[in-house]
Amino acid sequence: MINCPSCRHEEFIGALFCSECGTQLNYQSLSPPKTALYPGDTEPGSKPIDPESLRKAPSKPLPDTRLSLKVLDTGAIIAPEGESEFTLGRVSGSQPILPDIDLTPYQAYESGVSRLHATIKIEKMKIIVIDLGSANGTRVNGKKIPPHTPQPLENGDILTLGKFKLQVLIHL
Amino acid sequence: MAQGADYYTDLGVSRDASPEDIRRAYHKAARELHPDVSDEVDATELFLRIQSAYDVLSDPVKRTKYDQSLPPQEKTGPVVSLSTIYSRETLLKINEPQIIYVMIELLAPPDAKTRPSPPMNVCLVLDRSTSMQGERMDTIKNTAVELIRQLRQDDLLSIITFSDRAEVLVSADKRTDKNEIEKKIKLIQPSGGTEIFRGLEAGFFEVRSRYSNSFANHIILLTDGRTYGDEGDCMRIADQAAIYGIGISGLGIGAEWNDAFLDTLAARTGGNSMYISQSKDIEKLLKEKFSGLGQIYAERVTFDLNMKPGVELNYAFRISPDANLLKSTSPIRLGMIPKEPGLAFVLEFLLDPIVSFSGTLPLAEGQISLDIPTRANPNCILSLHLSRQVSEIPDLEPPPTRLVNAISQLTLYRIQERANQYLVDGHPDDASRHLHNLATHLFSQGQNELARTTLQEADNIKQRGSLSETGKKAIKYGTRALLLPAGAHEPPNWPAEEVKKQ
Repeated sequence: MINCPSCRHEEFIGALFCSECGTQLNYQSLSPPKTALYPGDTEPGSKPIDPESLRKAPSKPLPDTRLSLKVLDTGAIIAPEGESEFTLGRVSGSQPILPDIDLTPYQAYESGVSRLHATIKIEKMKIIVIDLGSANGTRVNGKKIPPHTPQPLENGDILTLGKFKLQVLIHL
Repeated sequence: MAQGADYYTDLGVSRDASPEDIRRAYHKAARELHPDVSDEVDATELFLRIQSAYDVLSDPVKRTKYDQSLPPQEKTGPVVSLSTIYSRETLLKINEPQIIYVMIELLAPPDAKTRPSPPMNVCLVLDRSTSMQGERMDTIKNTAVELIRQLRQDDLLSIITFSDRAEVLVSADKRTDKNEIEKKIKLIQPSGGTEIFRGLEAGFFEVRSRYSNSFANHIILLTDGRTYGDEGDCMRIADQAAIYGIGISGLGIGAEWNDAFLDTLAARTGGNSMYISQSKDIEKLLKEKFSGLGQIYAERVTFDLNMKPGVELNYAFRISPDANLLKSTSPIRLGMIPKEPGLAFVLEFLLDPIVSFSGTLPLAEGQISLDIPTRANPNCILSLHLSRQVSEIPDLEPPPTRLVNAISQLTLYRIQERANQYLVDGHPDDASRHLHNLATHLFSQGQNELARTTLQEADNIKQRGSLSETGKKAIKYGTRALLLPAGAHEPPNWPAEEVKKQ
């Protein structure tokens, strides 16, 4: 059996998509992990990747630059505390990597926000956003930004994840 | 079996059939026509004829001599192009079950477009129960009148109306004056209940009375209601129709009709089922169905397949010319091959663990039988052997894009199926989660309206434990429609890898 990378559902070898969540299964997952073939084999590198290891290293707080995000529809303020880097997305079912900021309470699903949609990094005197290859894309002031490419953010910019609009508020 | 002009047509094989094809065809015909088992009155005569056909064609010397005595063939081009695409080049030798997908495509030759289409023998079976009153019936009447005006010289159209009984409004036998038919259509009065069996049976009799394998023979059922208690009788009619090669297609109007029932009816005969959410779509879909039936290259495409031990056919779905569930037991009725864009379907096989096998593993063996109505000898048979090499190393090549795209959309349709199954089994949470997952994919494909409907129904399940009939059908037929090529269809390759010549 192979496991869906997104929801861990078990599928037969040779299945092309997860029957549970519809995620495309990597054709390389046709090769089952060796641990499944030969139980007890401790060959290095044959361990399945620990999803936690994919997460970034703990970030250092930068007290001199503060950022908050205003949800345009409701006026709610999201203020990430003490992080210099955080991902925006939504939590749904049993996904391996959770976003730092879960937008589910703000109707994120209906607005087309991906589970891992974008990352915001606070660097010295500079704030950037990176789209994480989201399904519906990220826009800065209405202009679509290319995925996996850092884009600078200014105070007052409108950041759109799918259809979900946030205003960037930077306090220096 | 129709008595043909030569030994090849008697056996239903092409003139270049291999000795193996001839042997197979002979055994099949002999089994069916043996006087001990066949009910046909002239079974003995037919049986003797295939005996002598086999006697000649199985002997290379006699066959060559016989071939020389035959008049030259009417057409020399390939009859149909058959291609198979597998999801993997090799099977994995492993002590656990595995899946392989096969996509099979049958294309008409390019010159088919310029050839005349066969006439049709179609029966419209119209539900005239009380609920059809008003816009639905008015649209049907107007569309039927238009369709009649467009009939070609040789086309046969019969019309049955039914409620809790059936009436032959227009018989296939009589060449009634078109104006006369129009008057009759305008006089249809809705009243009474819905007993589909009544209508279906009458429709079957009409089409059968003028059945010919040089026609496209089809029954189109239009209904907006559920039939109660006579589903089994309807299936019996469908099975009889399938044996004749008469397709049944169902157009369901509104929310109340039974889609699973119409699907099964269609799958048993090679027809399709369609969902009409608004009365104004009746005209469009009915006209599309008619123009489809008027553009046929081959009819009565039937796939007889024998699975090898350890191989199971999990799922069969047609993805062109329409998206419809197929029977996953042999014989699979595939319906027709249009002149364009061809007939394509996907099979999912589940294999037992392969522990000690090496070499080429046969998956299934079969024959595709089809009739090309415009030919003097319509029937022809293609052999199909599905097999894959077994390898110890997993095949890491990405599967062919076309197959991946088809399976991708089919997965969405099946998530919807699973959601409904979970609901039936009493697991509303699982059902709701599946619909949520489905909605995510639909949003990412830009199918926003369908995605919103899906989300709405996921909420309905959470709140009420069930989804609305309208939503259920919209999601089912909406995800089905995603399987159809929307201009993204690659141009068909001609000739495809495996071409049978005649």
